Amino acid sequence: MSEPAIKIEGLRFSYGRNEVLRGVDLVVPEGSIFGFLGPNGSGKTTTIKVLLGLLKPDAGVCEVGGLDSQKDMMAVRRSVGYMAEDQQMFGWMRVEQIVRWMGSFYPGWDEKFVQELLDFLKLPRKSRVKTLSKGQNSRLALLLALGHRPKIVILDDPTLGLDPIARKDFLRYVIGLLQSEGVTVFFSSHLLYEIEPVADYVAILKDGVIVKTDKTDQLRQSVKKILLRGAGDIELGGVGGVLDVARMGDNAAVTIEDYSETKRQAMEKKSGCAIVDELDLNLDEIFEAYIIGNRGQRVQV
Amino acid sequence: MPIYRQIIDQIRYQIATGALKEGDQVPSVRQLADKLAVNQNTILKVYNQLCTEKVLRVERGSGTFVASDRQSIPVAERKKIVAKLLRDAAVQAIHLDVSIEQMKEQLEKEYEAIKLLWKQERSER
Amino acid sequence: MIKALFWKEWCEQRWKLAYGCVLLMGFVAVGLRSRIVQDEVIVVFAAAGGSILMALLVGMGLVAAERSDGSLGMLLALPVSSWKIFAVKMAMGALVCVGPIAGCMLLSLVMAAGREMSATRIIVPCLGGVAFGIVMLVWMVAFSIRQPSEARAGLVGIAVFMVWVFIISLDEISGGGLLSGSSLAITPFGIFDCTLDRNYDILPDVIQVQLAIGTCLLVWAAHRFGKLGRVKE
Repeated sequence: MSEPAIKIEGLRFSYGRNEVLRGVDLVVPEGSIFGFLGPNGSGKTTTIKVLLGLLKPDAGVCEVGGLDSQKDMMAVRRSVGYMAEDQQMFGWMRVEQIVRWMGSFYPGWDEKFVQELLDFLKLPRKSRVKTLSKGQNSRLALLLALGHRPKIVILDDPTLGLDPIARKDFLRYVIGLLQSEGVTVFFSSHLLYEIEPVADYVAILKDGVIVKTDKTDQLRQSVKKILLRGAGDIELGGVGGVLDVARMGDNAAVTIEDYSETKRQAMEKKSGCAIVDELDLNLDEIFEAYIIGNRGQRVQV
Repeated sequence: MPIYRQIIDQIRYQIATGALKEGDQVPSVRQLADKLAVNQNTILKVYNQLCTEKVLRVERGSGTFVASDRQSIPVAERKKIVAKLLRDAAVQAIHLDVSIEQMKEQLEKEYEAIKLLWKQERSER
Repeated sequence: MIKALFWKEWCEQRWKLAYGCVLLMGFVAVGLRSRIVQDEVIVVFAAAGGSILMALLVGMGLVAAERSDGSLGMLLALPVSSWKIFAVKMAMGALVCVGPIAGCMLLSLVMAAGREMSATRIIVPCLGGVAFGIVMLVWMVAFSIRQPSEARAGLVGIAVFMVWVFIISLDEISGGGLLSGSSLAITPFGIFDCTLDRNYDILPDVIQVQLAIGTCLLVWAAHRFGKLGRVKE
């Protein structure tokens, strides 16, 4: 098993008295596309900033490419491609100027590759950055992150503000340019339907901790909505992994993770109700269950 | 429906209607991933499954092609695939109060239409 | 790397240099030519007024403009330590601040040396202006580093200047009791006092105090500059 590209252990961070990260644990396998998911303001950007040494955590360890984020800050930044959320660049510079300027900070800058990228990403060399459209701006930011051929790329909400076509195109570039080269891509988003086709793995951040981390397709298969037929108070009797309970017509709808035959039997036995249906959920529903699900153990029908 | 299943269904549909014919080369994993803006591993999964089902075959060094002898899938297996689809359709029909006669009529219509498309594609070749 | 940082600051700040030069040197040229008032008035006005103007102009845009543009985040995420970035900004800022005053000095020397004033009498106030300008720039940047806009930073600069005036006035009013003349050292007005009144006795004290304060402020400002990425969410 090769070294993970990114490793986070017990990360804690507070902005003043507001504790944003409360013990985040995360492992990003090398060469994977990893989707980092969470509602707005959940601390995704904070986590990413800590990875790059832009913020100092209260506790915990972060390693990127085997390097410590705090102790080897500059080395991490030199070896990682970073695209900030809604990245504003120097508006007065021309595209070719900012590209050359950026290159002076990275010893591994590949000028030939960068020129190819400028054409591939359809960026006008002579235009000033302030005249670029949002889509062009995002692609430029991506280019600047890739110019030194990093093995690990960290993108913070890279498709923010892009229209659906531009978003799809952007992700296409990420797959085409990076996955083919075995580059590890760690990107954050709050749109699960966007992450699903692209990511190998997904981690969901809620209330400062990771509540779920899994392979994308396994996540879909393991979370199900179970309909129980019953009347009055239905008690689930301590079945594990309940994400959400609600009433659905005459039935109780229990959204549960890691669903299996064993769980099925346990549920029927403990609640004393018959299982009427087992529904598949789309990823948005799964995400919702993790984030705003009602974690109770009883439903009234 | 999971994305890889959607893609599998799409490829099967293209083969059924003749848009993809026996011996045709399908795009490489990279090409298809780029076209659909989908993770390459997902495409890999799709191709692997279709290869196992003998719908596609891989030729080392040349690429991936539509398999020429789909009859190599055992009859029972083929029937099972179709049976599942029919069961889903039956459930829906009952829910929507569509009679079995109407269903049969519709099924014949659809079947013939696809077959026709397929014949057209073939003759154009 | 450092070269690239200097190039960027130069491109961004050079218009201020041009502006200052045209304004101040134009003023000097016209003033010395027309001889409406004494040469000394022109030179001192250019040096003193110019230094305040340039300090404000440069100080406004050094950090605050970067913040309001949003590009500061990008700068701080580079594989370069933030104090180096800050140092380059301050160095270029000082250059731009000082340039027009130096230009005025040269122009005055060319146009009016030996006329009403000796060359020395022209050079000294201009050097004083240079020193004053740099001190004011440092103070202004140090106190306005967290301001989100250029305008706010400019207001802080003006406030710094007014506080100095206030300290001086207090000293004057209390007749030497309250601060006993040390106001001239704490505020950089001591520089002008020396150079204009040619009261060189207190000059060593002034220099020492100003260097000490200035260094502390610079270090403090550099430290806060590095922390600027924190303010979010």
